[in-house]
Amino acid sequence: MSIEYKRNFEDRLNMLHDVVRYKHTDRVPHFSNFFTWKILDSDLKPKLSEALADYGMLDRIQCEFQERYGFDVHYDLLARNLLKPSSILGGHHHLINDEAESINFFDHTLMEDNEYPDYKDKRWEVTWRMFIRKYPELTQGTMAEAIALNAENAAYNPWMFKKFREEYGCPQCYGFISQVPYERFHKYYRGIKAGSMDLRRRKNELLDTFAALQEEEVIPGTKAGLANDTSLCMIDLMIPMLAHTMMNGKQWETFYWPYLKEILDTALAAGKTVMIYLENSLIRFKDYFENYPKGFLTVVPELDPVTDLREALPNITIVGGITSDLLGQGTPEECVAEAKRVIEAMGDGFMLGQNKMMSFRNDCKRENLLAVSEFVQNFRWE
Amino acid sequence: MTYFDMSEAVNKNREIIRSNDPAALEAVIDPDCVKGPEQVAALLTYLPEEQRMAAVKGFVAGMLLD
Repeated sequence: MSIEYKRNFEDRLNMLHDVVRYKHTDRVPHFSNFFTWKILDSDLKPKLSEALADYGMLDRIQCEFQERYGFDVHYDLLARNLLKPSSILGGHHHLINDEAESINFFDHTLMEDNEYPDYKDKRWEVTWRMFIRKYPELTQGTMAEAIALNAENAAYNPWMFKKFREEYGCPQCYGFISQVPYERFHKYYRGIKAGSMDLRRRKNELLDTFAALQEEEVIPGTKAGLANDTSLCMIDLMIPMLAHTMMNGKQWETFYWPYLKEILDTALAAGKTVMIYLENSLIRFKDYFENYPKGFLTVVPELDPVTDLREALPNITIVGGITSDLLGQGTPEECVAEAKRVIEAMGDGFMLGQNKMMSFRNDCKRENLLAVSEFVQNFRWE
Repeated sequence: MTYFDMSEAVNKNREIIRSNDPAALEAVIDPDCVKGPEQVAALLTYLPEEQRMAAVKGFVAGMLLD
């Protein structure tokens, strides 16, 4: 690593750590919540399908994005949709539409209604069944080749983390991920619709299964991750929260919070930091988070305006503040004015970022992002 | 600056896989959760034997989250 980038990396890492820990810093970090938009913004002008099939091109596009906008940290390094292995398996639950410039993920059901007890006790058997259902009539040779291709998926993130650390002085966003048991059923195994029915109709089966998963996988996995060296990452543990969006208060108390609390308390006891990457809103559950100490939790919200979230939960570090509506429809002057307003309103414990996974062309105009990037890089507290 | 490119290694490994018995390559995956993975693992001849089953199981688990 060059001396200059090493200094940049150390300065950035220290600043990010200080912000996460709710300490005062002389400038405000700029956090990238950009995903597919990066491909659409690229001067290489590839089709989506072309870029997603070429990890070398994704690498180029990600570097181009950093060189143009100079973010301090990236939630995604274009690793979100590494679709090569699933492409040769003959189908997956994504639809890439080059004309609409979109990637759609279909709600789907792989696990049957009555398979919770089997999943609890014979997990590999049910996992294999789900795989066969997802890829029926798959030949052994094709699967073997897909496994060979999957080596690229496994290698891409470490390659990009190292490059961004050494070439651009950008720390890795988080060390590892943990999620409550229900999340895998909500998105991948049962789907949103069937999973929501399960919450109402299969309470005991779900609770039995979740207890087993929490004990056998989630907490051991969390502890193992917390024991690793994540000191070069902005945050130690990242928890994506999606399934709570479909839950009422009682369901949250029964099927989500106990498991999340145990993960959070495990991380707190280990002296580590946690980021919650949120879909939808957190404010309606604010009571559950208000007793965690400052400097422990960082939240990347979606629907909650950052100033409302600050009022509801003054103990958490918050990432966000600039909406896709403004970045996509406003002027550079309006975007900069809003960045200034929100930074001054939020004070310490805040990183400027975007309010959603920035995915579509209309989510952002280049000139707006350039203006905001320049502003936040030069902003200093007096 | 170099950009991500594992194509040479991956293509070589895919060629090694294709040199296996054609009947085994063309067979549809066995739905039995013991035999099925074993039969696929046996085709991963580019990997040391002790790594093959883990590669199959890790891949299966990962593809369900795709």
